[in-house]
Amino acid sequence: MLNIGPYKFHSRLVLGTGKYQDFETMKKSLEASGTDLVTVAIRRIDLNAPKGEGLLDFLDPERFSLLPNTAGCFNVEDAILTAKLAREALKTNLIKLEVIGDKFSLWPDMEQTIEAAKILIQDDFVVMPYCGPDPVGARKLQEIGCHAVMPLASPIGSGLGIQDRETLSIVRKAINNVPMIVDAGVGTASDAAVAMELGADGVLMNTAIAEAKKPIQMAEAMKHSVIAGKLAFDAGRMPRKFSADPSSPTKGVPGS
Amino acid sequence: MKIKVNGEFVSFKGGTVNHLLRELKISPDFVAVALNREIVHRHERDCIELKEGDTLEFVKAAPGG
Repeated sequence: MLNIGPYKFHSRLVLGTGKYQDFETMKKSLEASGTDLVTVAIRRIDLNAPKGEGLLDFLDPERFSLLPNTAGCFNVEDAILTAKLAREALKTNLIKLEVIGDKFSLWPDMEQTIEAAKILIQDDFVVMPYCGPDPVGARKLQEIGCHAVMPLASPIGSGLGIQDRETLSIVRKAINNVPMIVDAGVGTASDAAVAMELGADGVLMNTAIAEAKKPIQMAEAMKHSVIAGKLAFDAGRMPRKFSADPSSPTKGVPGS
Repeated sequence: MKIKVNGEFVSFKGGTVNHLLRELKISPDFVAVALNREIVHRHERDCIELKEGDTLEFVKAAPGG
């Protein structure tokens, strides 16, 4: 169970809805992953094609909660406006807050993220900020009342996996009151498992599934890897040793 | 009069936000509206009369991560 503010989710996997070849593949992938929280962007309606099949026609509201994002925002004002539009359009106060500071890396701007988060929290949003793998920034986000912190594992859409395990582990230790959801950079199932083994409460991904050769199968793999990683973390891994330690008895070997 | 909708100039004969939504054939259910960067709540859409030079955003959920 993943608790975010007043909301509870069965799955620890949060999935994006972008980049799929068609809505049918997206729908089947979301279902195969077992997720119950999916991210959406907020974009202008095309005035030349105001109708037509839309994303929401493929997202059963009984099955999936929506987590709108502020992707594409580079300043506090645009992020706040987008969050308010999202709440109005989708009737949810959940918001994945992104305030980007660099177009090339899509790295978050922590100063503006913190400022925007404060305003949104005051306005009764449940705020889940995208942030760098930065224990000091993450702790500040927790202190101002964010409902989760979402450090990146590597740049959005890169599929490079977890670039710095030790730092993510330090972020984990810095955050004790709200969930840590590793957001961005997962490329394959083992990356998601490692994120969970480092103590993450959840993993958010999009491209790793949408751009897999078989998205639906990858979605299923991600489902199992997040469950496995969480089980392994809770089970407590054995200590690392730098020499071999035989698993079979050393006495009674035949012929010795 | 001329107003700006989603970054484009649009001619509008005048009326409320809901009149404009109907004229543009936008189904109002999952749409959010901002007028000059302020949110227009659903219950306000029938009351607010648009003026020359107003800037509107009509948005909806789109695929994204």
